[in-house]
Amino acid sequence: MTHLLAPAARGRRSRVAGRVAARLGSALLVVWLASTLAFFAVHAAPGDIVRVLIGTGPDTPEVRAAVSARWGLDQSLGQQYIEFLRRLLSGDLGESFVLRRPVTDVIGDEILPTVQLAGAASALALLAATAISVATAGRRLRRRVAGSVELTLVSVPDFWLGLMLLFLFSFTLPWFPVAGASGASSLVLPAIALGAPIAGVLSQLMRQGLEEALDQPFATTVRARGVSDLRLRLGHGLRHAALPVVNLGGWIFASLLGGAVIVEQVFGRPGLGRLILSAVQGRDVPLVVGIALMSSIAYVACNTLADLVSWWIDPRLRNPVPA
Amino acid sequence: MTDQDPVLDLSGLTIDFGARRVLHGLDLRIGRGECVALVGESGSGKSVTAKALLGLLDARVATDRFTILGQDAAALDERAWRRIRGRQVALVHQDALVSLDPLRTVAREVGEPLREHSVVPRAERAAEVRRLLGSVGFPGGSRRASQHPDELSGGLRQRALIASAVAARPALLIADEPTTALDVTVQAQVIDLLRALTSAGMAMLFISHDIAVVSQVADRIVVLRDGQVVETGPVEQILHRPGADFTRRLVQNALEPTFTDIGDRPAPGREVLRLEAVSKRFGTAHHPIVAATDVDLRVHQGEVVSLIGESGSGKTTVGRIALGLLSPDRGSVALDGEPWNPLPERARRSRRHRVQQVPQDPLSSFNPRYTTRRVVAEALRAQGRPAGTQEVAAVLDLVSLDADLLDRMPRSMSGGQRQRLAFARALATEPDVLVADEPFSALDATLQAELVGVLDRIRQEHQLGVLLITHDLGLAARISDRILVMRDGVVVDQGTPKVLIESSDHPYTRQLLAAVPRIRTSPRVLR
Amino acid sequence: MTAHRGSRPATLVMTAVLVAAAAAVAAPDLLAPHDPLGADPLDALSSPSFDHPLGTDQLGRDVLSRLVHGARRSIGLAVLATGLAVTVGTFVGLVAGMSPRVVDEAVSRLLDVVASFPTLLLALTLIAFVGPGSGSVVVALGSATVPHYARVVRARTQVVRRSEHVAQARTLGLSSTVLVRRHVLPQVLAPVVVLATLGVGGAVLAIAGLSFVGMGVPPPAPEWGSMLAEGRNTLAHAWWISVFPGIALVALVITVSALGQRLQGTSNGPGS
Repeated sequence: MTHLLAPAARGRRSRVAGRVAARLGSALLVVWLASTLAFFAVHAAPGDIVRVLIGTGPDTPEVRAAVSARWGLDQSLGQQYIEFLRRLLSGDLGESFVLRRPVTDVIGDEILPTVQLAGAASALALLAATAISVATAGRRLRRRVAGSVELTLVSVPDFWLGLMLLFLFSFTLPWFPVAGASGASSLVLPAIALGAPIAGVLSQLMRQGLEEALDQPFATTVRARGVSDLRLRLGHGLRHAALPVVNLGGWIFASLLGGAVIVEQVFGRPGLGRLILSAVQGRDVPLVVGIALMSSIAYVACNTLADLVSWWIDPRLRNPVPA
Repeated sequence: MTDQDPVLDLSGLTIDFGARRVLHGLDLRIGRGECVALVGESGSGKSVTAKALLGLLDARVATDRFTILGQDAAALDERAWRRIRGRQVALVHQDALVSLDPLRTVAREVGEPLREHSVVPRAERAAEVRRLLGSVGFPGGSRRASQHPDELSGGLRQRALIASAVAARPALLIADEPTTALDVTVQAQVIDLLRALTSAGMAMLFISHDIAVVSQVADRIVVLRDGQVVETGPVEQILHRPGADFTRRLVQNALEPTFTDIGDRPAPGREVLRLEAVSKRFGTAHHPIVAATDVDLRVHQGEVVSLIGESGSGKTTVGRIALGLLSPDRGSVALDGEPWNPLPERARRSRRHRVQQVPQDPLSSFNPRYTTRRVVAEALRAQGRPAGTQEVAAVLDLVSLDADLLDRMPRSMSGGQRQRLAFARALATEPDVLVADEPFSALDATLQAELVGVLDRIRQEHQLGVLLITHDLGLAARISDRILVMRDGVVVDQGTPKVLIESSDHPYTRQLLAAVPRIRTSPRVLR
Repeated sequence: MTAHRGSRPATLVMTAVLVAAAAAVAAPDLLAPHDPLGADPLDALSSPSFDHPLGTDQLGRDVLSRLVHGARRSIGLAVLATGLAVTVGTFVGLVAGMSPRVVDEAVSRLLDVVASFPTLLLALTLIAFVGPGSGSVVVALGSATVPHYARVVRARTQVVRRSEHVAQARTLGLSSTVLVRRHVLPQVLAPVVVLATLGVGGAVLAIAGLSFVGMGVPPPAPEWGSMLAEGRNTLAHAWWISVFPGIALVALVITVSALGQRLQGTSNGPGS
């Protein structure tokens, strides 16, 4: 196919490839800086790491030396750093002081229920936001009502919403289980509690995006072709409204993870939330930092992917005009 | 219906937005193969008419009679309108960059009316899109059709927009300022294309502020002003025997380029601005964008020197280098015989007031928190001069701005008032040189004529050297002492207006001259 | 979009909420009917009554009194955390926005790194180092939200500094300090005020969330988030313990967010 492209188009191709490469490069740079920060955070942790590692055992010089050697603490900081990066590249986030197991294994055991919850919540939020924004964009009365609903959704703390849902639909009306993570019915209430604030933000953004699109001259052109208002909103407008949502990809991920920590606590669900909180309580620094680093990497991946997707949606973003 | 029925028959169209009437009784009758033009300045009610004729206007619309192809359109509901839009009445808007969905390929945009009105079977749609694009002179077939509007040149975009409008073979095409955003050479091509469509039998309502463009396509002209019909008649009558003063002024502004006879002016004074071999590039080493190459330019006291060229020719870059806002890569600028650019900012600061600018969009050049008084006072104080009410009002008086405006925010003023304020601010520092970058292009014809008068007066009274940057050859010819023609960063031709217009043999200058829309001495023969 | 202008009743409700919050923060002792820490096992878990308008908790402490006294902590800590983030963020953003490209790039990447850790997780991580408590909540939340403000200020500074009216002001020969002070800074600060208002609402929620999971203000000091957590176990038979602090929290956050939105409407101004 390439040979059919005019030189200008080929130049554009290579420019796009260049920008993708640059974007991936800066993502890697951020991940590397975050890892470095994480490494030094573990080493700057207050207290004597060796003492923590010995636990209840006898604190003799021989034991100290053995423990230091076992955890690689007898090497110089520079050697430890290089070793840390080498292990990170092979997917090793270190070992928990408290559980004495690799951080990745610990996370692997707990991640599934959290992923299920986050998936259900984001699907719910996207569906609700799309429906609300398409139905209310550019309509004076409806957008006023929707605006108040969204403001409330954004302002209600997810844990309180969770408590109220529990109170209404588990205690008062026994429709859903009070705690646990067995089956789809245990997912409904937590997903609503976690998804509602996100839906509020997305719906506002999508309506704004839709209204901007509908205000542009091309909307008149499309309607002048005989296209109905609904088709204009769904066929043309939504693609424009999707851009700000995609750009928030990283934010959505962070809100899901942060919110999940708390919502899991409300509903007594297993998952990363329980893991993080017990790690913070137990001052298990390698585990806390490992989880933080993992989520930082996932966040950067989300944002990078979001940029690539938005370039795919909007061709104008691929070739920004030089200022 | 029969062939004798008009495609559009409209009488007594009035439009109200709340209590405000924006159109007072418009009559239009357009038959097959006929082109009627609606001419007026911005705010005259042209564009709301276009939307009303498509049933897309969110306002109170009333008519005495409104039929499309013999069918009563006054009482149609939304469903019925949808069958008419695109199929019987179609629309071509101003700039296709914003009038086509920027996220869709050209082929999908052209295909949409085909799908909406099931014009051809689904299987033949792709072929029909190719045929349509071919018929409007859109080259390259499938490859370019899969591009997005922003990847195409202005002319190609406009062709694609026209293809999408005529896709469902409408009987009436409403063209709302279809050539306004285009460079003159491309403008001429698009007008040819529209003329071909009417020759093929399509009825057209051509809406424009530019009577010169209109004179090339229209059979009849309706002149609108403030929602009132000023005058209606065949094109020949409107151009040669206009009945109303307003029409006469419109026609006057659009006549063949005329030039100043510099014999009228005193000999120019000392040289105030001199650019020598100025070059500038932008972009990266791999993708350099050349903005200026070896530009030489001189401006003397009391002289207007115009730099003309199409968009992207580098004329604005040269202006910013003259202002000392950009440094040249090579070459130098002298101000009043002393080095000016490149020079460290520290050494330049105390002389900055001697070169001032008048920008194209004055609003963005005012601090959004400043009132008129503060805008002018800051310029006065920068010179250490007193800036009381009296002094500020005196500066406003130079450009005939009323002292009532002292405490208004520029954004609440009219376009003409803002542009006057921009002139006033520039004059407040008593400069030697004024760099005016498209200072009139955002204004309509009447305001433009007024402000050209203001510029000419202050040039004379203050012995200002003016560097005028514009795309408008007609304007430059009327007010300049010398003109430099720029293309791709290079000055390709220069001379007095008289020499350029009468005897330049540079092909690009001739091309620009030929493409300037003007009222031809013999209007096209009416059918 | 038109400026967000609220209706008159909405304005009245918002004013009432803000006045009540301010009064609770300023003079809790005047408003609270009982001692917020005064336990009375005989009167535990009693439903709302004349003596205890919002009921009592599992230790028999008056919920209304704890709510009033909790306001100072919930709101005060949120304002402090936001103030910290705004001050540091504005300074960092302004420096990056006005600096040459190398400095700007370095600062921006550092901000990216901090922003790449989800706010709550970063706050939790910092608390894992220094332990829970009011001070660590402010520092943890404050530093986790610095990039928020710094990025906006940086982007805005770059736009304003390249804008036509700053170029215009340069042609008058003004010095660069005058340019920044008169033509750049005022345009940059307007959106920061709006963001900070919205940020206080978010901080109130985040602090309540941290306390809810036991990582914020330690008991028995009254704080809305920990009150909610205490009510969780008795939800089935004593709903009032977590319902009322929740309502207070929601009313406050809605009011603050609505205030932020109105400010946003006015700061955009007509014609933009």
